[in-house]
Amino acid sequence: MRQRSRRSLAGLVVVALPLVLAGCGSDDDGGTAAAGGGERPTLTVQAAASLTGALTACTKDYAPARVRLSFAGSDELAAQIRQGAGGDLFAAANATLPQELATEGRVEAPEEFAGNELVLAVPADGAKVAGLDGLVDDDGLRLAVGAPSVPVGSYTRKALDRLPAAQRGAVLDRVRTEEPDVKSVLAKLQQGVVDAAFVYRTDVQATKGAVTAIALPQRIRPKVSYEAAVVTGTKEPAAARALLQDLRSGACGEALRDAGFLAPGAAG
Amino acid sequence: MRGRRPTPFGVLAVAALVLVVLGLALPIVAIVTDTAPGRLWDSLRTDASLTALGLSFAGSGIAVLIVVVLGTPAAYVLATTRFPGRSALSALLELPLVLPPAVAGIGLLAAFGPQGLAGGALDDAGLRLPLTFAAVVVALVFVAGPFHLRQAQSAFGALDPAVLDAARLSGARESGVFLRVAVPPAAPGLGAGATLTFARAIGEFGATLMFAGSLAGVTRTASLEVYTRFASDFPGALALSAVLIVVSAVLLLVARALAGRGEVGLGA
Repeated sequence: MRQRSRRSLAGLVVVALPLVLAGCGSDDDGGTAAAGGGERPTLTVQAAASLTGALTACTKDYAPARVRLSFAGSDELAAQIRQGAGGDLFAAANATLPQELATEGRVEAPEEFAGNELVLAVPADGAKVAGLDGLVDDDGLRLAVGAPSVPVGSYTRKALDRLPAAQRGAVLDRVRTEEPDVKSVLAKLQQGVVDAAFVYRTDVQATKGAVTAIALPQRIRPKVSYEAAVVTGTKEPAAARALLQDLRSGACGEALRDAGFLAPGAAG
Repeated sequence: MRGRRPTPFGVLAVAALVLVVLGLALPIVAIVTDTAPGRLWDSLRTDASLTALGLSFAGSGIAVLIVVVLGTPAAYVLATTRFPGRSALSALLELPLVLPPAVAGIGLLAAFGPQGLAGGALDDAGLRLPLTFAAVVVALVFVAGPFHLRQAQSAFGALDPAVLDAARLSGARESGVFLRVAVPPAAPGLGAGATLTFARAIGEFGATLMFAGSLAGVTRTASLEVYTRFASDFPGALALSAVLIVVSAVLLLVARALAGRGEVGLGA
């Protein structure tokens, strides 16, 4: 009996150990970030999924700070910041979410740092649809869009709202999935699960030719502007503001332009 | 135990237990206490919540039915016959239990996607699985089925082979041995396995999102609805989470009670 209870106690420790270690790990991390603040601070950036490629490339060798990136749908990142799980900088794929957070006092004044264009994406090989009209006409087509709360999904609905009701209804009928972020929308297209998807032009460019972008008619094209804001209460406000400026006009700004993003103010 | 002085190890182990309880229970307690009862009712009354819960229960119910009908005889064969590679096969069938959800999703796409192993044949037959309710069920069977397989194997494995042999000697057919001799004493274990499968299926998220997508009323189960709402309606997401916690807790209690009635322990 005694033997047995000892054994189960040992089991407990084995189970508890990772928890304890995990606790220590996060403490450690905070410690080094604060201690290393004088030399090269660590910044945590919560960035829209569409920024994945460009920001990963340009922050790798960003001299002023070590940058940790967390990519997701902007709406999900905003929800994390609202729950107090904010990093140092929030880079969203729209202006609405940063401005909402600023009104709530959770981020500083947002600044536009890039623009983008909503397009209809189809496979480069064997596309079943050549444009919006084809999407309206063929009721066998399958379409992937973003969920309404994620920027790419709200831009998509904004564009469709500018279509005549019958066309809008037809296109919405083709929707087979509402994805949590733009990269998952694109993934559904690349896996061949859908025939077309509404994504940003930069996402199409990142596929290096696997996917083709069809421009939307000027009259329905929504203005896609990306805004970023320093999270209130960050321990590194100066470094975070510097990175925001870099996004606008520094090496990261250049990387964004290379990836096909528009200069701030140029979206239209 | 009484009267013994606490040893340093005993103190450590109790501290570990406290950490384990805090780490595991706190998020659950937080969800339940953060959800005001009035709010719970309000957000559950919404069509989206009810539809999502309905989809979860329907999908999980169908998945359990498939798993029990196919998995029970399969587990019987695995538990009562000896053949080369048997334990390797058992391990392979248990693999989905520990696979990352993203891997499960990729696997399902690689198997049944339009460009997948069996997807081409399915496509020719006019069956397109991904992004349908059937895809939800397939994902649930794949991810949750092993719980029943595992439990059923240990339930059948605990039977006395001599009893099965005696039934055969007395002239019972193999189907009769299975249904009248093997299944009745294994029933509590089988019930526990089916209940665990149902519980896991209710909680399924990642593989469903990747393989079946997320569309209200078609593939957006309760756990996907929680994720969708997380960004736009946190209190609503909390309320639905609270319901899922209650459902899962009840299912776990049922599974434990059933497993306790059988001769085999849970997960033995």
